[in-house]
Amino acid sequence: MLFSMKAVMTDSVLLVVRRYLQPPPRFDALLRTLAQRFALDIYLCRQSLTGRGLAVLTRGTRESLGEVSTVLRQYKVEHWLVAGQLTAMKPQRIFALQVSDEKIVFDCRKEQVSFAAHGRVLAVLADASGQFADRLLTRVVSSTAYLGRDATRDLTQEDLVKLILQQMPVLDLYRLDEQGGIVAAVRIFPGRFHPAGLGAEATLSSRENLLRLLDLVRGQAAEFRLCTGFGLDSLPGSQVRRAAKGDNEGLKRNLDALTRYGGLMAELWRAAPVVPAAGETPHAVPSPLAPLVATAAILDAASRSGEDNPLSSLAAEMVETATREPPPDQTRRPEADLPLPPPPQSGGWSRGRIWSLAVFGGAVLSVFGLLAAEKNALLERAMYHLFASGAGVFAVALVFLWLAFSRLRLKRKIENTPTSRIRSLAMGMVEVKGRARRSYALVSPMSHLPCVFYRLTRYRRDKNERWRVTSVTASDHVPFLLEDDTGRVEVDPRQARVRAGTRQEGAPGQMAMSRLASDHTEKWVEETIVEGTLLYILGFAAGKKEEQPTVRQKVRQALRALKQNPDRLRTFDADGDGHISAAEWDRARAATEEEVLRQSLAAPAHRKRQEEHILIGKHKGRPLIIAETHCETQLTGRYRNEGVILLILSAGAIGLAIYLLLHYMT
Amino acid sequence: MTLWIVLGILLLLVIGLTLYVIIIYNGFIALKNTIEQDWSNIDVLLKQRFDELPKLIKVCEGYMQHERQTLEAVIKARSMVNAARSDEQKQQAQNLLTDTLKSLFMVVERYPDLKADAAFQQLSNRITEIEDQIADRRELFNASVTIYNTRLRQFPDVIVASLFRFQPRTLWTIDPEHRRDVEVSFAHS
Repeated sequence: MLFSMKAVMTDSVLLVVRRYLQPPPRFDALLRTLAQRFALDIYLCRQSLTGRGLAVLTRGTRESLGEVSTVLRQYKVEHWLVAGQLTAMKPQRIFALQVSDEKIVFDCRKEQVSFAAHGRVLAVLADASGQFADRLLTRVVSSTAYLGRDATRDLTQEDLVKLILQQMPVLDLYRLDEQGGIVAAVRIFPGRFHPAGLGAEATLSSRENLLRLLDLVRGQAAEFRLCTGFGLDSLPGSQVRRAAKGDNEGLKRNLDALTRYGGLMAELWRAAPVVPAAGETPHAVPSPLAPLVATAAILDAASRSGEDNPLSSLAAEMVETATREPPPDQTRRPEADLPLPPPPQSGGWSRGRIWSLAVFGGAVLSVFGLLAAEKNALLERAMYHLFASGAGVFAVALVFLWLAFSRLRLKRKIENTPTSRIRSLAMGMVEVKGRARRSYALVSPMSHLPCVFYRLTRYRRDKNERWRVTSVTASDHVPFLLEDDTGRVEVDPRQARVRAGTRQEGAPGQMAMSRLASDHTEKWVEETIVEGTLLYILGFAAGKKEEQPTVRQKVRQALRALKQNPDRLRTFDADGDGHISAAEWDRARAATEEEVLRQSLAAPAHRKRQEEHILIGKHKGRPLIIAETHCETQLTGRYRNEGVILLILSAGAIGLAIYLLLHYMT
Repeated sequence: MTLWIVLGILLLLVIGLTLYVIIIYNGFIALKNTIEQDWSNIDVLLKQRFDELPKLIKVCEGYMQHERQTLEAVIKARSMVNAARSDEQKQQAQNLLTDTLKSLFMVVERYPDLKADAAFQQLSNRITEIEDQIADRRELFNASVTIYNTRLRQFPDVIVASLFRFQPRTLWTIDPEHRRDVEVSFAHS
């Protein structure tokens, strides 16, 4: 038996607490009591008592900690008093195993270690790379961004197991005696043991084999406990640091920490915890803030494990905002059921696309004409007369004029359309104002903000150091809701003139930045309409297409259900031969049709909500404006300014055209 | 040469002015049509309310044997709506119908059995919902009329308006009776 024993802690006693996911109502009183009676630092106590997993609250002599324990018991905080001087048994690495009904025998380097059935087993599943906290952080941040803060749920042990298996998993198994002392310990790395011993349970996946082994051990043990908090729990001697691939030293350090963690977990199991009265456990209280409190703890763990995670600042901001903001409105629709955004529709020829192609085609033809003019005397003369007579400039002036009047017409349209209430929207051109709400779990691609619309434009510097657009991606295929005091209505932003209020710029690889470095050759600009912002919408309200199943479809569905229900089918078996003949089936069919018809007639006429049957969108020849402003004057002022500038340009161009014409004529 | 330049500038001004007049004229036409549409949109809801009334009266008749007068007032107001021809007559008839309906709902308070009736609840909710929508659309109509009337009096639109004889429209007004202060008496009879 080659067990190495290692002393890791001092002579004092440790007071280990299970952290609160949600601080209870008297939490502040508890903190004050701990500070006043035992001179404990309030900030450190708050940090130790909130978050996920276990933490050491304080250490001292058993007598001094006994009084703290009494106070914690009064406030129903689950805690343990364990000896500070612990011996940890280093687990032996396994290479193969044999499984029988009586025991599991692990083949180690120099000996065999057996785990008899019906024993007491502690399993510690951990990530040796030290990146578990980062991974968790990413998961919580993205979950909060996609589903919204209110819908984010706390992570279960199954979630943690899945996340650990995606990193560098290690499984430590400890066989404990009746008193809770460690008798044997083995360490299992996935892919480093022969899976043949698993028999029929063996698979081609090394991580799946690890899970199967864990299930086998769990199945055979009389008492089993799985710990997945390594890297998250704040316990002495068990801190983990990030170890890059090939960093053997870092990996060894983490495995040593894991050994100490296993020893401490075994000791905690052995020591009787001071558990709050049944049914009053504060840790089970569900709260929308719970995952964020847990995030704070993960953040803490991530910062302990070494370098800064790029997500840390985002997560810290998220936690700060969540704790600063008032509790979410309970009457609001939960966002957990928000579906994923639909995929963008490819193909089809939109008007914008046709226009851009026409402009491009025109430009190509012009260039071709200019090139041809160099070689063809007739074309050359025609081009000369076109420009010299001012006809070309006049054409440009007309384009400016058309643009100017379209801006002014739009301004008039906005001014002439009164604002409707959503409750009483009529079909046709409408103007509505309200708050933007998501219909789908849409998140902006760079800043990760829950939004109803985004437009991402990528740029690249050309030879002349000017930014050129390389691609534009927008979420205009994703509808959203507009909400005012009277109701909600769905908005389809396709082909809309969108004026988003939030604009961010950054370089590839950056989440968001305020200032772009001058040496970057690429950049992105993201415009977003964040959920909850006030919007002005001018568009065409129309009824949605009905997608109710017809009676025929309902009958078909009912017949399919009948075929899958042998008990009901038997009621149509008139001769009782166990088979449905053609005549019997006809009767069944007729009865089903009658039943469906009766149900359709009896069904109460369901009155639809506004957003269920009205859609504001683009209609041919009508404008669709979505602007992040509730001040109409600001919007019309902008269109007026643009119109005036274009008018001035147009007048200038016409003046130049007249001058050229006069010059040409003389 | 100078003559040509002057002529060119004059031509520019004439073109610009014509385009501007066209925009203003088209704006007036669009506004007039918007007002007509807003008026028709109110009509749509009034028709819905009109269609719901016979059902409501039928449900009420079963319970309110002693309130013939109130029910008859509603029926009479409904007939007046049907008979109204001009916009003003329609407005008055609709206002009267709104008033009689309010009286009916006040009287219903005395009949707990009727209030508890599922059909009555459904119908009264529906009518209340329509009433809210009518109120919203009246506001919208008045907003459209106000925009139109304001433009009629604004410079330079007033020139185009007088040139093409655009007339101001009347707002949807309520019965002067409703402007009176409500007398509240806490004395028990």
